[in-house]
Amino acid sequence: MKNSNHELNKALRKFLQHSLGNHAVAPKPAVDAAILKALQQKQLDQERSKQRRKRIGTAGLALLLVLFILPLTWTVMQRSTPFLNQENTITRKVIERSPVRPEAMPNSSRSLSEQNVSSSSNDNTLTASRSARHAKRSVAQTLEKLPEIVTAKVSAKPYSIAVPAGKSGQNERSAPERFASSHNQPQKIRVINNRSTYQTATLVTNKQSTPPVAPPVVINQGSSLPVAYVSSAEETLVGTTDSLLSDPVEELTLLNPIVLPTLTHLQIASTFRTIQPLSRPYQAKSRRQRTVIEETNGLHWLLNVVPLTTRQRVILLPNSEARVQDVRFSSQLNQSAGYKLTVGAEKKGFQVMLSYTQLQMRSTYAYSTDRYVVEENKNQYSIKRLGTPATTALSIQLAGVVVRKQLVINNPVLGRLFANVGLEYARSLESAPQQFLFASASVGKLIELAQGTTLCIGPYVDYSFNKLQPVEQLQIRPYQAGLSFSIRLKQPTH
Amino acid sequence: MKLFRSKQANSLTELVKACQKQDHQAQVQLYERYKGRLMGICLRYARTEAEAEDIFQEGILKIFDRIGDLKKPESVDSWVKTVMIRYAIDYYNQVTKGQKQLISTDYIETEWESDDYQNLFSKLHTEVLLETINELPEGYRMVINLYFVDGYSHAEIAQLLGISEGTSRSQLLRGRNLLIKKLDLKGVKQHEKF
Repeated sequence: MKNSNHELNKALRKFLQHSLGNHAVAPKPAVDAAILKALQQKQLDQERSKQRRKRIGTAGLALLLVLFILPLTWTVMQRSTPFLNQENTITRKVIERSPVRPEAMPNSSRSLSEQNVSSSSNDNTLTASRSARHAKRSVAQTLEKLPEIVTAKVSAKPYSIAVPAGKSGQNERSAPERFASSHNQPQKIRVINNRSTYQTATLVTNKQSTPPVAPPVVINQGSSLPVAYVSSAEETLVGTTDSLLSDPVEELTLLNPIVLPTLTHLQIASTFRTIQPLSRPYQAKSRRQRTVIEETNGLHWLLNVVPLTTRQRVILLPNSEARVQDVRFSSQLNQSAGYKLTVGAEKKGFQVMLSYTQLQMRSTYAYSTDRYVVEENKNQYSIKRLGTPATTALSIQLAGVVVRKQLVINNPVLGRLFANVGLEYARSLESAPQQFLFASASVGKLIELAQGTTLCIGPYVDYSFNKLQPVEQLQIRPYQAGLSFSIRLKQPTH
Repeated sequence: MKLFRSKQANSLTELVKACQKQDHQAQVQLYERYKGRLMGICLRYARTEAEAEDIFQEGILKIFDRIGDLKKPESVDSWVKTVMIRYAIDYYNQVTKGQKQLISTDYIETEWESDDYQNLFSKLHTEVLLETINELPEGYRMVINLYFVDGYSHAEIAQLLGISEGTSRSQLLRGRNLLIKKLDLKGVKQHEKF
């Protein structure tokens, strides 16, 4: 009896699954160690990258904050400066137009007002004794100017000004507020003598707005002049004898109109004015604007020499037969040096050149074997796979064509600079030529050597789009970096 | 399939979750849990032991790279196995597929009597069986492993290896016959040894 394929497959599947399905083989200790080490390394890398990300995030946040705050501050300052200037101008105009000027004031009033001004500007806490002295002096001067009849009536009894209520300290605060709100409308001060007859005095202020109804201030004989009313910076009482003469009811006009309270504004304005100089960015901007990209006309001949140092990027290819490890590159200059010569012409910034390049590359590596070495270091064991060393040394000569675009920038600070980007197609000069495509870039400075002769000097980098494969397991992508020296000769015009 | 059945589902879930949080201890624990069976898979798919080690190392790292994508931690057994098999297939596609397929001259339509293979299978040791499978040409080995051992269908094999289903069927048929022939030879030898 013959079995069908299906039955055979079924039987084979059953058998193989039973035999190999759960087949387990412990990997070698070296493999274990390598995997655990790789996992640990990976975790360390992740932690590092996490920390790096965190640091970058913090720095970015700080940068954002700075970027946000600076323009905001800038905008606020830009907007506030004209306002402050305007306010300052208005203040100045008000002072100029003010009818009462310090020099026009009587000596007694001026001294009092100056004293008040200086006191308010320097220190808000005016001593009571000083103010009281000024007040008494003012009253005395006023009394001297009073006509004989009034003097006879009044001087017989000593005058005093009664404080309506509260302590003098409270009045120091409340009185200026009250007087500040009162203006040209005269405020009544009642003078009391021993006969209980009330005499009103006029308190003149120079404010223009409509005053609220102020309670009358009672001046009582025998009591002293309250400090607060006299020490106010906004008001000064000046005796006006004329009004007394004309008033039959023995009214007293004691003190002069006050000086404008403009000092506070002036101080603020001057303080803000010091923040004003903001013209630096404008200066920088205008300087930046002066950087010019030159247009090169005419034909230029070019000769370029670039000493190069070669760098490599090695790609290890998977191979079941052999595994490559420990890839290293030579750091010796004679094993990694090269040069590039280019000759060509330039017109309108476009350069076309012929190039010759000599490159050297050397790398050492090892083919992995199945032998391992366990190294002990401070009770920590590390397993190293042994390898068979090998070396790859390449010396390549390339010839090709270069096309570049050059920009010449005239900067007022740095002088004349250039920037080059270009492509190079090259073929190796071997029996089996290999093709290469390079991208190159260079920046540097232009130095005028003589009329029409310029030296261009600056760093130079080459990137290869193609890879070399010296052995089966390795691919090498060469990079070059160097210092470019280029002579630029201008074609003489006839 | 009972290959990777977990004994403690709850703790396994926690283990997987810890691995997803990149806990190193959990990673070591998971590695210790699966390393033997995964190495067994690698040995089946690789030509040599060195190649199996390479596949194993890279595959394990890939598992820990991708474990964050695992939505159901309880299915980690089959997931781990699938990732390793797929990596072994990738390795085969990248490295060994380009090499020339050994055309076997052993392809003969063989007809088997009912008791023949039963007797043959009973005589074989696992190590010998594995060795015999490894001796098969690449394409045959892959298809036999995927179809007979890991239970993939022809459609899945075709997708994994980038071949048609017909190719998969024909390679399986040829590989199977070659395998049985080789096993027959080895089984007899083995039997004679004992």
